[in-house]
Amino acid sequence: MKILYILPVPVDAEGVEKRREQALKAQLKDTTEIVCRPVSSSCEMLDSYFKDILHDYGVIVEGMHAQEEGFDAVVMDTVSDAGLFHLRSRLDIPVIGPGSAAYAFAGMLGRKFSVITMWDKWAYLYEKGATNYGIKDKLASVRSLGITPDLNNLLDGKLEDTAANIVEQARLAAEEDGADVVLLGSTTMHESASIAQPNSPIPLIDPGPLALRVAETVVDLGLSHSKRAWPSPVDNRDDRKFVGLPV
Amino acid sequence: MKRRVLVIVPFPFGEQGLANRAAQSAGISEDIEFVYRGVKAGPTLFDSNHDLLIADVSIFEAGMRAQEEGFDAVCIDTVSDSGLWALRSVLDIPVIGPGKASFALALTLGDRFSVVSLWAPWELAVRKGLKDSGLEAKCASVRWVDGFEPDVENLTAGKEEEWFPKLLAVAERCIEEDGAHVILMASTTMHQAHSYLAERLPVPVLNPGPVSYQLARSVLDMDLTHSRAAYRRGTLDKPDLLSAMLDAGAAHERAVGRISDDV
Repeated sequence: MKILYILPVPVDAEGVEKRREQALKAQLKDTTEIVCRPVSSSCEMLDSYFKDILHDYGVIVEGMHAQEEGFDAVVMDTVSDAGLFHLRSRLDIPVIGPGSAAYAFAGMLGRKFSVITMWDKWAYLYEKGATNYGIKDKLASVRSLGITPDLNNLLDGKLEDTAANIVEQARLAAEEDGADVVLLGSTTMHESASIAQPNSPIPLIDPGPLALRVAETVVDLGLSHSKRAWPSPVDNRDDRKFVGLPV
Repeated sequence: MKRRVLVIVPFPFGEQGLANRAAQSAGISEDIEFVYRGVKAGPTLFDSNHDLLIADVSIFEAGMRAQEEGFDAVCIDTVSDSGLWALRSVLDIPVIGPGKASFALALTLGDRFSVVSLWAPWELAVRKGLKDSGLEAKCASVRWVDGFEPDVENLTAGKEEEWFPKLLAVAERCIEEDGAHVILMASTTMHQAHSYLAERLPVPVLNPGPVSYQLARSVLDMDLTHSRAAYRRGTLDKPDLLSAMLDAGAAHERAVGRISDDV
């Protein structure tokens, strides 16, 4: 099985390896291969609805031919689920978003969940996601660590402090916001998960590895997303795609 | 080391009945052993709140010591998820129900789903599960075929030709008339119909038993379990009371001939 893991920012080789670590945490089968592919261009730092479009665009361009390239599934390396709906309409192979998968799993393990994210500028993403998926009543809160994200080096030099901060926010989410489960708001936080998880008072979901695992499971079960929810375009219009936009 | 998952079958079955259920986990994972265990005494057909009450109690009793028995997780072999809430309150190892697991996977594959059933009275347990999970709004419909007589031990064997097409027609109505993006099956007793439906329907069809095993495996590998905040532990658990109730219940069921001697 071959899964395309699209990194939504144009990171360097070291940055790719840091993101690839999530595949190890997913404990996939020996026969499952993860191909990490960074986008060639994007808005880089997501912080607004305006930049959402550029983020979607970057992911769509890298993933839209995944099926003919021989991939069995596509996952985007972002809890924003950038490009998820668009790629689901374009592709028949499963496309799994870390946000959507994490919200669904949170609902299986508890009643309400909170999102712990790097900085306040990402808070709108979870409101948007929970609204789009029709589960906003299950979102107890969004809590921020107040740290400016580093998309390439991730948590270098601040891993322990970040993990401790996540545990504290999980405690507050449980005690003050009524959350039963917390999830990391960004796959850029994945390095902290294994340190924070054992100390978190409530289950802590690391969305990137989970999404890869869900993708493998969905392929194993012979399933894919529903084409009734994400109908294929009548005409792919590859000849005219994204005219005038930089790639 | 191979991990062990206890699968609780909600009827006091003998070898054949358990084997029919165990067919659901074939090929799921080489690194997990699925151990099927019937309850000491159970409900008849899951068609009433009376039956659901007996199922809650008997499934709980069958699984309440799973952790000390060395199991790594518990799965419940009924889409009603009977006993799930109580088991989660006493066990730290993951307890996975096919209902909740299927709802979760359905929502990663579509925006709303329908549940198809071979028998009208099973709607009760499906609706209860949706309500417990707070997902009623995500269910496009629950539909069933008329006239089927359920057999929880032999399942659908010998009835394929007559009933599978009827079930297919019901599922098609869910998609075309109700707008379902994903189809779920209302009972793990219907698992033999899964491939028939999956090959013929234009949307994903979830087979709740295998879905629950796969998600249990994922939850274990991700070092997750259910939330203690959502499923609180009690001040003083009374497993001995439950054992006494079920032992007496099983003796009674044998005395009145509802459980055969070979179980």
